Amino acid sequence: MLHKQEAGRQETVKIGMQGVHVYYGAYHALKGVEVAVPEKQVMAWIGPSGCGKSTCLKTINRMNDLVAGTRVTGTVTLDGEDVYDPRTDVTVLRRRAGMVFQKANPFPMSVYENVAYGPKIHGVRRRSQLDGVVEQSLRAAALWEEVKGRLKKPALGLSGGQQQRLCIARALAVQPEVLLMDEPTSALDPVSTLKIEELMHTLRKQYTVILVTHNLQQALRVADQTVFFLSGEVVESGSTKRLFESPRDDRTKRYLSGRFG
Amino acid sequence: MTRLWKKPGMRPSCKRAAAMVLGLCSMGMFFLPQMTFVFRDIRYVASGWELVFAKGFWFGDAQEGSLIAVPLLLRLAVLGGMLCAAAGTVGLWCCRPSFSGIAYLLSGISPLVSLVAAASLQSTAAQLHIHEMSVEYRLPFMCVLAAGVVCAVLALWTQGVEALAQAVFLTASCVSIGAVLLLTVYLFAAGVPAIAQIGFFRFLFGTQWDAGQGKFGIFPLLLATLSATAGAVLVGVPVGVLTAVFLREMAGERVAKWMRPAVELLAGIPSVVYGFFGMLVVVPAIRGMFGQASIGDSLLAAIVILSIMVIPTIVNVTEQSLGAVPKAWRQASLGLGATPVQTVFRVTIPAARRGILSGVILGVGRAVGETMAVIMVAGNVAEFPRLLGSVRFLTTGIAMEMSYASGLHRQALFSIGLILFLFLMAVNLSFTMLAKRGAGHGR
Repeated sequence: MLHKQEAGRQETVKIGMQGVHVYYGAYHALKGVEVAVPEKQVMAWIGPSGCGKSTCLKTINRMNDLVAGTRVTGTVTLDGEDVYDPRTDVTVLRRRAGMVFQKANPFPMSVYENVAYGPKIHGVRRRSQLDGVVEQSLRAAALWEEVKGRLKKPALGLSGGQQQRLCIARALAVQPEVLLMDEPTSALDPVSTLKIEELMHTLRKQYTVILVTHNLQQALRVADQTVFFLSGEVVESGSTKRLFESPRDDRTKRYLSGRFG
Repeated sequence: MTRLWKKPGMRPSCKRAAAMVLGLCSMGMFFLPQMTFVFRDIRYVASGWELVFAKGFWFGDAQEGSLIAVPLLLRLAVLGGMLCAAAGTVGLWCCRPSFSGIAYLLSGISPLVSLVAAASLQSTAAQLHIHEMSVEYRLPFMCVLAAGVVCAVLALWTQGVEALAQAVFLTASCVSIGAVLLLTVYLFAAGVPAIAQIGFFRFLFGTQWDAGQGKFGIFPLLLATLSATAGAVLVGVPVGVLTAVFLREMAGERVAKWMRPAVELLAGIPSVVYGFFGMLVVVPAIRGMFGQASIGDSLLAAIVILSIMVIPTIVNVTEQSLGAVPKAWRQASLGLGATPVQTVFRVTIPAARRGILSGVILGVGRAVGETMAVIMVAGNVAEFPRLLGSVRFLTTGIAMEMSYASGLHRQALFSIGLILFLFLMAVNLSFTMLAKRGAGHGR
């Protein structure tokens, strides 16, 4: 579980991926990915469209299971436990590794019901307890002040940025350890984007965050670690500062300078 | 160079001229004999003029007889048709083609209104025990109809094909709305007199239906219809909704590919075949199971058959509305660690609620209105419904008695039709309101 990282610090590996291959039918989407995600840091995954970042993200919480004809080989571990082991309880896995999607997808219910949905399905019944979780999660997602007066209003009436933060709050409400964010700001305006980036800064104190993004500046702003994907493979990974300032691989250098992808 | 601005006004064209001539002809039809009314052996030939201004038809001899008044609707329809044709022609003269198009169209529709009004004359005659009354429509009557439509097309055509096409769409929608309106008007016209004569409460809550003794209380029939519908909904809705959930959310593509057409086939079976199945399988089974308590032909048998009949409707509509629920919501739910079953019951079904409700309405409509299948299994005794006893429904009452009913009895059957109509309207409205209120939460 312990790995040496570049800076020489000892860091706990939260999620490990070794030799992960993913096939969609005949299409070979991931070709032997090796990634070690350190605990309580923000890791950005960058790379051109179709390079396998999202696929890789979905192998962690097994959302790929929902796509018919998907096959995964190699090992993916969460705290050292194999995610694809037959003994794995997928609902526990997805509870521990929460997901925020590219497009905000709040349920057609009230703001309150959206956040309380997760705790409810995991067995929380007491009203007072639910109230506490809802407030805490909305505060953690920096949304409480904006919606505290309209908890009973439909969530689909919120603005796009608020909806996305609501989805983050909904994910936080089940007390995950990992947050998998799949381009969470790609559909948002700069102000909302900024709010979510600020949020990520605070989230890293408590959670391990993987952020898939097309926005290189965003990766530079929020990520401790960055991984560069290309055509289903990991080209280079390392601390964000090092990777952006002195990329070792020529392809990384060309991508960062905007010459392809 | 093509000019940007259209030339003002209308150019004289053969279309315009033809429409005006036809419009004048249509007006002329007003003075020609349009309908022949036959009361037993007396024939009245009436022109449009006479229909509007005559008092009515005198029936009987000079000292003693009765006047059958021309219905107000008929007078209005005939007069309105003529005036509309006139307005259309004047409109074309004054270069107002859209106005005259609509006017011509109305004059073309007026004969249809007359048809309905003349039909209601029959029930008025029946009150005076004149049962051999009939109406014959003469050529000028048909001409008004045809001329109205042709004139409207010509008048709008002068504005170009675009205006004509728009008018065609408008007409098509008017036809469907008009059909509903005409039906409603006719149902009320035919159904209200008997209710007025019997008394609303004695009709609706009277506990005895016996035409021979002149007792027309439909309460047992109403109760039978209500309980059969409730039973069918109680069984059919859960089964139908769960089948749809299974097909859409759980069954693999291979299973769904076979099951879906099978369920749809169920919807295509004629209701008389359901009745047949009920008669040969369900009724004997009930007789066998309950022995002494039931002869088999019963409310229960009707409920069983109706349940099977409403299932395909509910399955199809529910499946479609489940399919319309965005995948993103399902993913969000699963991503939070919900199981597929939790996701279905807490996210997908609530989100599809509106569609499922409309499926239920269609199902209720089918169950309430079903006639043929239940005639064959219900035993048709007009008594208070018991689950294992024979029952007669509103629909089966009409179907079985219409062939020999006369006088007040016959009219009471029309009134039953009206009650059925009102009942279904109420169901529709209440469900729509329910769906609206429920949806307020989501959007």
